[in-house]
Amino acid sequence: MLYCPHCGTSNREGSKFCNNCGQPLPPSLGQKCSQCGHLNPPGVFSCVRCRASLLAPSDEGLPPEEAPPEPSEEPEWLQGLEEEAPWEPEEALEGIEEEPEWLRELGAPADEARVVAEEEVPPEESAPWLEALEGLVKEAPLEPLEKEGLLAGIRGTLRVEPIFAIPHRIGEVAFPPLAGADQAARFKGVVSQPLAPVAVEERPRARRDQILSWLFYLILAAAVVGGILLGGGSVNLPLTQATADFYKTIESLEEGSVVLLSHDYDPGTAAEITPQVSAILDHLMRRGAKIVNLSLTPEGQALADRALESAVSDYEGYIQGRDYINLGYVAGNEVGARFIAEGLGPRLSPYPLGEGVGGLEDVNLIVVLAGSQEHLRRWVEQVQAPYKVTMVAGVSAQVDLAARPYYRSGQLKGLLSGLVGAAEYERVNQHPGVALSRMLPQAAAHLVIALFILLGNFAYLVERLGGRG
Amino acid sequence: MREPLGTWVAALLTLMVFSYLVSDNPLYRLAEHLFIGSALGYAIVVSIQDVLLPRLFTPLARDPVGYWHLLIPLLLGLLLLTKGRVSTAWLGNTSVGFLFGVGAALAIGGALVGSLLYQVRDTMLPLLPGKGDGGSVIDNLILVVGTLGSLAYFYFTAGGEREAAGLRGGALRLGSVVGKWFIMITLGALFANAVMARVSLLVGRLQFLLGDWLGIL
Repeated sequence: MLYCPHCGTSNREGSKFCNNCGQPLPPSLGQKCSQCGHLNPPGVFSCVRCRASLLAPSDEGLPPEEAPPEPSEEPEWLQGLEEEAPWEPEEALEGIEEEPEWLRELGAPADEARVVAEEEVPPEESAPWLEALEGLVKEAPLEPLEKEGLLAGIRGTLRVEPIFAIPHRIGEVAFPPLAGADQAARFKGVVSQPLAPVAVEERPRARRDQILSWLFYLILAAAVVGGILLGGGSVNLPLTQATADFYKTIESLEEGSVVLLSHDYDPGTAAEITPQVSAILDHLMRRGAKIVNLSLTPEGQALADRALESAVSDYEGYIQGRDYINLGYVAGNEVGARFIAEGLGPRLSPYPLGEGVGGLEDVNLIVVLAGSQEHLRRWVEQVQAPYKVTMVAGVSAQVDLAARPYYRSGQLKGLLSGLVGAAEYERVNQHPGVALSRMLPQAAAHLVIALFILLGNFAYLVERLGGRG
Repeated sequence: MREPLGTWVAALLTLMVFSYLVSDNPLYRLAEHLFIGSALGYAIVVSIQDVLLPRLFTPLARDPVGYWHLLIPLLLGLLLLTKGRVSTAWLGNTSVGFLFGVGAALAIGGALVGSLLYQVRDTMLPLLPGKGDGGSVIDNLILVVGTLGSLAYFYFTAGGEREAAGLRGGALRLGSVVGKWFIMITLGALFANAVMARVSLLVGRLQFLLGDWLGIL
């Protein structure tokens, strides 16, 4: 492969001109110097020993047609020009007046110096270093003649130096040691290990873990099913203060009080909160309250409809629009809660229930049924704190820890927590329902989980002590 | 007829979800996809039926001049649809900015007024026995020590070695150790409550299968 010294393009071996730029390419094979006879390596333009050009043959070897042209061979147009307008220095200076005085003063020494310079220095007066230099100059090889163009036949006018476009070569680069190189090496070692022995070792353990998991599921399911079949309601539940406060708050309502129920839960937490809703609606209807239902979640309104339908079946005197209503889904999260607080009156005005309800100030109690702590916080922060409304909450067990500070600070007057809270409420309301029936399977499941936790810790302890021994 | 069909569908979907306990399988995946799809479809229908129609389109169709101000949320809502294409997404920036601005303002203001002030005030409790009983004093002490310890645990800028070796650094270290234990107990309670909630869900589902579906109860 031959690389062009001008543009760097790679050309086929043996090419004379570059395929890209058309410039002549250096010979690919070694070339013998016509001056000194040295065999040069490929890719050079001048002899590495005597620096004579290898591109063109030497002066002596020039073919007759490339010899410098004789004066007689000048083109006719150039000869014509010379005959018509011969250059005469005297005539050119005719128009110039007498030379200035300062030039006349300088003229004499300048003329003398010119004379001295043109005189030949006698051999005896020349310095030895000059003689040595003269010898070197005489021995220096002649520059090649220009072969074409206006400078054809002139020697040494343009000294052409070979330019090599040598492709950049990347040598051995010493990279600094990488951070974590030992970890990478260890990882490579782990990855390069054969997988078969590991799989053989892990298989029994994974199988054993899977069987243990299935065994745990079976025991848990058996405990729950056994609890359901045995029947609930026999568990002696202690009444917590938060549930008692919740009950007292509703019990203190007068007949015809307006209560706002916000159903902010979904099917994922409905198993805990639906029993709470049933117990609360039963209590509110027994107290003769006017119930306004709404939801900050899309699923909540359907669950509210179902709960209302079930509750109204026990209280046939309750009429939709007059005694209870479901306003449906209210979008906007924080904005939605604030929107209800600001614009409840206009929302209720089309219904008989809304008579005498101008706004939130006419609402006696807000009951928040929250499946997540975000929903509870929205009602407390956006409605309870700014408007100082009496508020209670029924929440999923996993929201209990987030709701407890609000109950302690007095922002929530009462709190129901999970299925246990619903069962407590049914108990204190003396209206046993689905929550109390689920307490026995719930307790059985808790017992099984606690036993497995103890068993697992015991096994871990034994394994650890055995490992030490 | 509709009720038994719904019960059967619910029962089969419940069993399909329970099949995940054996291993991950296509039946579980199908039930999962059905749940997500139906929940999304239901949310869209409810949003149209309970929000867009009664609060936007119906008033505008009935009296466009009287409800001209509803054109502003309509325009902002339409601009949100331009977020679907990269080239036109900038048109929806105003709507998004409006949503974020209002939401953040309400959330921050509500958190300060409704949560932070009340909780700080509720931590300023008497620690010496006075008119109250001894139980409330112990209760208050636990609450105050737990709150301060938890705050100390999250105090990450205790200073240099010299400061850490001083009285302030020692108090912070002690407080963070106490706070760590309170946080661990809190996380344990959170986990227990989460387990209790899931067990309640399991009891509800099994009661449904045994009672409503199989009719055993």
